[in-house]
Amino acid sequence: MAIHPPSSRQIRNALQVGFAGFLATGLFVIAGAEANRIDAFYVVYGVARSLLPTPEASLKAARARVVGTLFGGLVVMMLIKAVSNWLAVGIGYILVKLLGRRLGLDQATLMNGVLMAVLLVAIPGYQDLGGLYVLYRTGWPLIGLMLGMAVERLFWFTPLLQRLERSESALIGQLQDLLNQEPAQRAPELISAYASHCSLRSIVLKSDQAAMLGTPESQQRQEWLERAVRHGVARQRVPLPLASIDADGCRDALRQLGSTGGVA
Amino acid sequence: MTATPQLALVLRNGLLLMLSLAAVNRLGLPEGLFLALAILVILEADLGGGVIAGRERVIGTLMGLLAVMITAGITLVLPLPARVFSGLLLARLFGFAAGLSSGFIVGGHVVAGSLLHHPDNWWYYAFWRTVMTILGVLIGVYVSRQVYSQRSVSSWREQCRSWTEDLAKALLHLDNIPEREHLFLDLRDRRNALRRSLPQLIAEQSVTRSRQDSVRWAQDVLQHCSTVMSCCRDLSALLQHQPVLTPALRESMRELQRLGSERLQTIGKDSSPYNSEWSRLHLALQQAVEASLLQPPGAGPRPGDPERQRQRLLASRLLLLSDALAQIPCLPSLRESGALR
Repeated sequence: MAIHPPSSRQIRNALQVGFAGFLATGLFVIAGAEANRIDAFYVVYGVARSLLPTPEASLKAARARVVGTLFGGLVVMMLIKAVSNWLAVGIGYILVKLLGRRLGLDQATLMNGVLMAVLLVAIPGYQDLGGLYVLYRTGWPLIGLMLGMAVERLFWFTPLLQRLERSESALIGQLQDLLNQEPAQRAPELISAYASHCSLRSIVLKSDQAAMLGTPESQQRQEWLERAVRHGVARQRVPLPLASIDADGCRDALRQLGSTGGVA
Repeated sequence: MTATPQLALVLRNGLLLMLSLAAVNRLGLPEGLFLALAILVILEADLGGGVIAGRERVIGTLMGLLAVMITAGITLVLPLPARVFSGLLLARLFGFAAGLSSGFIVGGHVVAGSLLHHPDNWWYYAFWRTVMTILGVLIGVYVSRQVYSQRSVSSWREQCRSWTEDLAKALLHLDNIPEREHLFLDLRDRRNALRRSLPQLIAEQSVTRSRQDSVRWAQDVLQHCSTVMSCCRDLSALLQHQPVLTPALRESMRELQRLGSERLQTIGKDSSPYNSEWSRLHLALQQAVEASLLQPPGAGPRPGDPERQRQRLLASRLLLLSDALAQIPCLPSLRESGALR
């Protein structure tokens, strides 16, 4: 197993999750006799599940957790009225999977639903709690997830559009660096970087900031960037005597990009 | 995956989950629930995806155990919130250092469970949870390999075949592709999806130890077919300008499209016959390109002239396309690689 020193972004993320856990446990301590450690455990459990690499991923995971737990809990609660032995785990799993797919739930949501089948049936104490356990397992982690997402937005938060602009700048920098070097089969790096940029752009296009990317200048900007990347990639692939064609094409596209207004 | 294998897979997983929980209960294994959960996590994905998920889970759990040991050992005098802060912080940092992409969540759960759910016997909980997780992952990978095995390499090849077949159609009708940009963006998205699945093939190969290098083959196919896709996109745009082509070049291009398309269509199938026509075609194309598109300055449009730039770009893409098509590797036999076991 290779050891990678954590990046500054990862260190910030670790501090955030630690702080969110500190707040969650602090609330439990302040609540005193009103709360028990199991409640605090569920809140911190939610915190540990939040603060993923991007705010969108955190939100998606939170949604999957809440919807999956409620859905799985509902299905399994009804099931254990009829069967409450080990058979219920298998049947519960199959029911959650088949019904969930029919309802269009994604894999992460279904996984959370399936977990309810395991926990509700496998642990007698939880089975006795029934619906209360489902609410426990939904409500307390939800508070933890919300706490995590609040901390995510309070410290070192980078708005979506700014992330896109940084991604564009990094891509331009990468293209310029490659132009200053001899072609060396580095097309896959550029392809990966551009794929990440496009995936971020598609997130912005689905957000309330989509209008910023809809202007003619922004669209033109994207076209020049795409052209620069295509020439940059081709320059890494073509026979060396023909590489200057794509180098010129890439430089020209980057020049045009530099003189185009609009948002990345 | 079609509906029938999906249903069979759900039935397999449901049955195995039930059996594993029953066995854990019968044997009275300490923290045995985590054994069943680890098996479930592995079985939810295909073999390659399961190996990745298992690795994330095991390393994440170990990092969580390490974080708890440090936190409980060193920071015992600190108040509980500070201990939770330290535990979660360390679990994430260790997870990142170990290169985890999601396993740090499990690490955080080990911390939360140890410090808040089992504060009096955290060592028993964290230790047995780790042991059961490792055991569950090993069992899960074994079962995923042996019982109605879903191989990443099979589904990857299936997707790759569909992608290259569409690419073959695009190559064959370069000068007449309806909704050209839309088609190429779709092809690019599918290529990116195939690229994202490569780690699953690598993980799968690490446990199948197949003699045939499916990963290397997949990487080579992606590399050369990506080049073909980019060339097709550029060429189809260039052909919109209806450049003047010599009969020899036009003939070589037509041949390149036909043979290339055939080659792309055989990629995902068991046999990819070597075509002796390739070397002849490559030579003819090179001569035609050099004679009509790469003529010395003065013989055609001036350097810097848009028409000359287009000609040079056309030459570059034709040679690159021919080169990439010739380098597409043959498919390693599925049976030899163990993918159908």
